[in-house]
Amino acid sequence: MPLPDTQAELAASFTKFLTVAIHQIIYLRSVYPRVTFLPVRAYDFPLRQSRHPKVCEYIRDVVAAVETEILKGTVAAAYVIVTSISSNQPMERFAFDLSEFPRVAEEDLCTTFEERGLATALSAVDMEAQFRACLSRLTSACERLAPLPADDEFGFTVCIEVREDALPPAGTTKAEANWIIADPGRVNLQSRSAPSSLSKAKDGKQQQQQPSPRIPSEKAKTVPVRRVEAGELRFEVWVEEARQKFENPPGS
Amino acid sequence: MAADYKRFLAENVINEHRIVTYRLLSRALKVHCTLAKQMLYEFYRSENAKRLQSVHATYLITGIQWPMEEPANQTNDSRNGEDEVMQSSPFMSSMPQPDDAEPSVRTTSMILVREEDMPKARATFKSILSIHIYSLQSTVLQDLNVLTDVGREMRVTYGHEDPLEYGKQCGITQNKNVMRRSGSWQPPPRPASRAAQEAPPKLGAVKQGSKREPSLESKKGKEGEPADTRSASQQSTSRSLAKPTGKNVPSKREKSDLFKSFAKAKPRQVKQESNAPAASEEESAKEGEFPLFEFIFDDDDNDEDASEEREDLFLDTGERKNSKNTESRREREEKLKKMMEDDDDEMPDVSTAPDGPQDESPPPPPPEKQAELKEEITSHGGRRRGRRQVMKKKTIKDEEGYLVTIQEPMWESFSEDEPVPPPKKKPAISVPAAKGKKTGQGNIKSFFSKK
Repeated sequence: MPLPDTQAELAASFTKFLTVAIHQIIYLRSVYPRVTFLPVRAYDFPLRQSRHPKVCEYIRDVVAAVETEILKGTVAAAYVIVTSISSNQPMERFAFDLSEFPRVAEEDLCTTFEERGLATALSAVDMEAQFRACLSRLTSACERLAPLPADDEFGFTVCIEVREDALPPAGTTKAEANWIIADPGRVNLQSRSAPSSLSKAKDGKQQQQQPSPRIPSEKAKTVPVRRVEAGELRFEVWVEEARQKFENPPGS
Repeated sequence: MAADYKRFLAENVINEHRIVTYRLLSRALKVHCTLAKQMLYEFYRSENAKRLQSVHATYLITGIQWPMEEPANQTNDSRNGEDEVMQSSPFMSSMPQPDDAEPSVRTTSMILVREEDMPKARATFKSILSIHIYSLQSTVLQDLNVLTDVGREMRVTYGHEDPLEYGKQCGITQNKNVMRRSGSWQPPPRPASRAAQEAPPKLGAVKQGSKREPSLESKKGKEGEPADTRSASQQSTSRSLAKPTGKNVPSKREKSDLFKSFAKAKPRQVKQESNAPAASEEESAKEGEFPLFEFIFDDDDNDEDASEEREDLFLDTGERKNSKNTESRREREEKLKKMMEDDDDEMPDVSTAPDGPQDESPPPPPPEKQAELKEEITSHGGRRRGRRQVMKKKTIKDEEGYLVTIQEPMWESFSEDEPVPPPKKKPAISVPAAKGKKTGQGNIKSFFSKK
């Protein structure tokens, strides 16, 4: 794949990676039955892709919305949250920290980056290798996580966390209404910065409003996955497990 | 050595959470595969004795399985649960009559299983020939597919090594009779010289022909050089024929000899080989200014059988190297001469006495050929046009599977510039005629030849 040298390309390659990663995450955590996943290859790595059309469509839409926000420069981090359906509590959170992503004005989206002269002598193979390593680490990290409670159903959502100085994507147009404000109880395992996060409504449904006290630190364990640096593309990935996962028996 | 592998495995499996297969281990530590398997087992045993479940393994079971009673059931036993997607109607339909139709064939199966699935997998085997550890990893492997990534990593890290050398060390199964050719492959002069003559009809480059014709005159003066004697003799032979196929007579004689010496090799390949260097040689010999590689690429473009010529890797690469260096014509010819004289496989009469026999043999047949072939020539406006009967070479496969080249007269139209050198030593005319299907080509040729 050609090197991404404009912000637009950078965002595109990250979103492709995010798509692949989300498929792999929901496979590894068995959010949906594993038989519904097809073995495929991406970046020369064996992965799994869901075969259910609705799931694929949802992931595609979510990732497209994330890309829009990246291009606007508002995204600080993206999270894939695995929640327990019965208790509506987040169980695990896969974080993609994008705070070091370059921020570019809108008119410069297709302008090539200036040579920084640092370690930017990057070949396309390196980027692929970085992605591959990240996915491989993700796979092994998931194996080290405590297994999810077996008798519960799970769902997943994707959140983005907005930078402090950026406007949250709210508006009246159809495109901007993709994001709804998440309630803190559902998604905040550990709020990185602002208390309000945004989460994409699954199937356009409104999330259940659940009053819950702000628990200072709900996460129980963090498992680092990898820091990816491929030229201008820099992000970190880690996994957080919520205390609820270990504490609350299902159905409480 | 004993401590090394433990340290290697501890670092990779436990600390870095990598998957280590026995193949990776054998290549990393340069030990035999069987020894690597034993190392894996020993490490697995010792680590799990220290701390249970610190290291997980996958096994490779080889043996004869129980015959499948019901396809649907069996697929799940020895594989990971994830592959259930495979049991669908296609699988059923591919085995319509499991055992009734014919006596069951004894099938040895090699199954890759995780240690968690071992008891079930072992139960499916009627008799087990061998079990060994395939890989070690620090966590429970949920997806066997990730093992493919280890193969990729191995290929990247160790792929460049020569399998013939480290094959013995690592225990790669190898055919004892396999040998690697040493040194660079020198194209034999015989196919070269023959190809010089065969090149015109074979290669579609019409340029070659008309180019040769005017340039021959200019080059004539330069042929006093010893380096040129060989190519000169080729040129003289080629020029001596009014028709390109005239060359085929001596070439045919030589070719049949060549076929004998290359009896085991494909005759066609030899023919192709001979064409490529011939074309390039001739070009290099004749047109010093014109870059060699253009002809080779043009040939590939023009010739429908380009793929065959590309098969001929030895010669092609050699020729391209020459061209890319853009040596002077003299250096090229000296190189050619050196190449030809170095070669051992050549027929003695060709390599040792390049000039004499070659000069003698071609001229007698050409005039004879010339006499037989008819021409209808008109010439006006400084241009000879007309239809000529030309000896065309055809290669066909006879009953026994031998490639036989026969010559047949065919009518071709040609057009070339005057003055056409009448001496029979200059059959360059025939060259364009052989290939020149279009009269217009002559114009283009003359354009290039003016260089």
